[in-house]
Amino acid sequence: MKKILSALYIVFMCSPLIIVIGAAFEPQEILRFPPHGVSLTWFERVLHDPAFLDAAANSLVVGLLATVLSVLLGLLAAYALARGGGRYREAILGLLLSPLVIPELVIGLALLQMLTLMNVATDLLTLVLAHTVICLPYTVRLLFNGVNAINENLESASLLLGASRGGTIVRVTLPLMKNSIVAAALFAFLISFDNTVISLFLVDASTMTLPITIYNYVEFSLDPAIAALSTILILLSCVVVGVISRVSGLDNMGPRK
Amino acid sequence: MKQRVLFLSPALLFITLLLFVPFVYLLYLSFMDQDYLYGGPALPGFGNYVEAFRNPVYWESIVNTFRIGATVTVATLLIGFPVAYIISVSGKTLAATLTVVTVLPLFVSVVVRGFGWIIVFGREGPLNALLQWAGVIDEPLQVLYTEAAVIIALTHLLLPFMVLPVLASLRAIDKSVIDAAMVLGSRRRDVFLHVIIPLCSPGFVVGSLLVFLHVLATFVLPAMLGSINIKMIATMIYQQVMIVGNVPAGAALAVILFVFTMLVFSLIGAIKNRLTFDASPLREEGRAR
Repeated sequence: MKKILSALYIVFMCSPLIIVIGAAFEPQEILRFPPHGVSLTWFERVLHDPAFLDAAANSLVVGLLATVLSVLLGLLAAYALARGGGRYREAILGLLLSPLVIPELVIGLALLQMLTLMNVATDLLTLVLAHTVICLPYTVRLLFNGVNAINENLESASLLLGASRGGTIVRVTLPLMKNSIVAAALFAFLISFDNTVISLFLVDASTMTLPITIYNYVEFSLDPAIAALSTILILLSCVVVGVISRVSGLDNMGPRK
Repeated sequence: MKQRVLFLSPALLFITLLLFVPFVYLLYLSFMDQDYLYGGPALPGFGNYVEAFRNPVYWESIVNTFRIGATVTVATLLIGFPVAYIISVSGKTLAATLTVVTVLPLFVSVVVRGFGWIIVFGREGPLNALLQWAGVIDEPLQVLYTEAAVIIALTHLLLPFMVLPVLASLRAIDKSVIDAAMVLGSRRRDVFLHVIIPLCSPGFVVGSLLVFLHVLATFVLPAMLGSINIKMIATMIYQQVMIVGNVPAGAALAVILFVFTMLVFSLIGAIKNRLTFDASPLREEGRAR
């Protein structure tokens, strides 16, 4: 009984992913599973298609910039919150985590209207800023936990031995936080890279990201090209998750602590 | 102190300018009429909110969202509880496999998963092939672009949000309580019904609220798998703003969606404070939208 239920559950949870991967190897221009044959045609086509390559480049650039920005903002805030103590700590933390409780659709819509009001055209920069908003709660939380995990005595010792505050942060605190910074950066990248809803409001023809390209593509045509692209994305997700679990242990995997 | 302000201000300023100010502007827009953005006069009123509950099209999207939310919540409960229970009583290998299978899909883009379901539900797809092979149906079923497709895909998407809190509750149960019930002569079935299930009710409740919370704001899967047939609050907002061009109506619906979300969150908060349990899966909000 237990075995049967477990097997059914595993099949249910894995089926959409396995089927996407399987369909990507179909030699003909038909989207089906199981594929009738094994071919890498569609992977080759995706990797030579300028539309997909542009979208990949946009996703990569936006993801990297949003990661850098959200990690920097998060580091400063997390350090001040963890070490500064003081009043309003919970309230400030709550404010910084608030993008988690506001539906993404509402965030995207509000931002788009604000940009329209100010006559700012949507471009890669506005997309980066919007993604940074939703990455920030994750980096703040992970880095806040990271600072708190450091034994404060090490910093006190450094100060006592004559190092400045700044020197202590750079030479003691930051190196000790290496793992949580890497985890926060990977997490932020994944959040940005996978984001669909916010991007949907803020992309135009020249700033397409990969999820939006897939979303638009399947509305009009269904062929194995998207399956091949999706397969690449699934593998990428697996790699990033693997690295996160390596640097911080699966149990510490950020939100899922 | 000065340093603390210096360190905190970039992030606070950022979130204020890019989230709070736009949100307040959206709130403002929701009280305007459609002409306002096309140069009409600012005539604030509750017209859009009245319309949201009166106009059958908007009202239908709200009713659909709640109905689909309830269905998906029940479905994740029915699948999630047995799975969490199996994880809690199984050996290391099976428990780890089930946990990975639960968690890993969270990291795959929801668009990719939506695409996967499009293949699964297709007329010539694996689901129809399986059902025909098993002799359940003669003709292929139209599953894609129906509510069933949206419900199945959402159940798959949101199962982790049920399994993880229930599992946390199950793991928090003191084994000696179960032993005590056994020693005092309870049958296994009674222990299960009268000890284990009541003790993990915080997990059920929080899991259900989390699942419901996500269905409220869900956009991608209903849009991909329901197309125009399935109207939910989020798809209605998008349609009003990006296609119809009635931004104030969309803004009012967005504010209503926000209020619903806050209500569910405060329920979670109230329960969290009343019962002590591991609330860690709460940190996952936002991932699945």
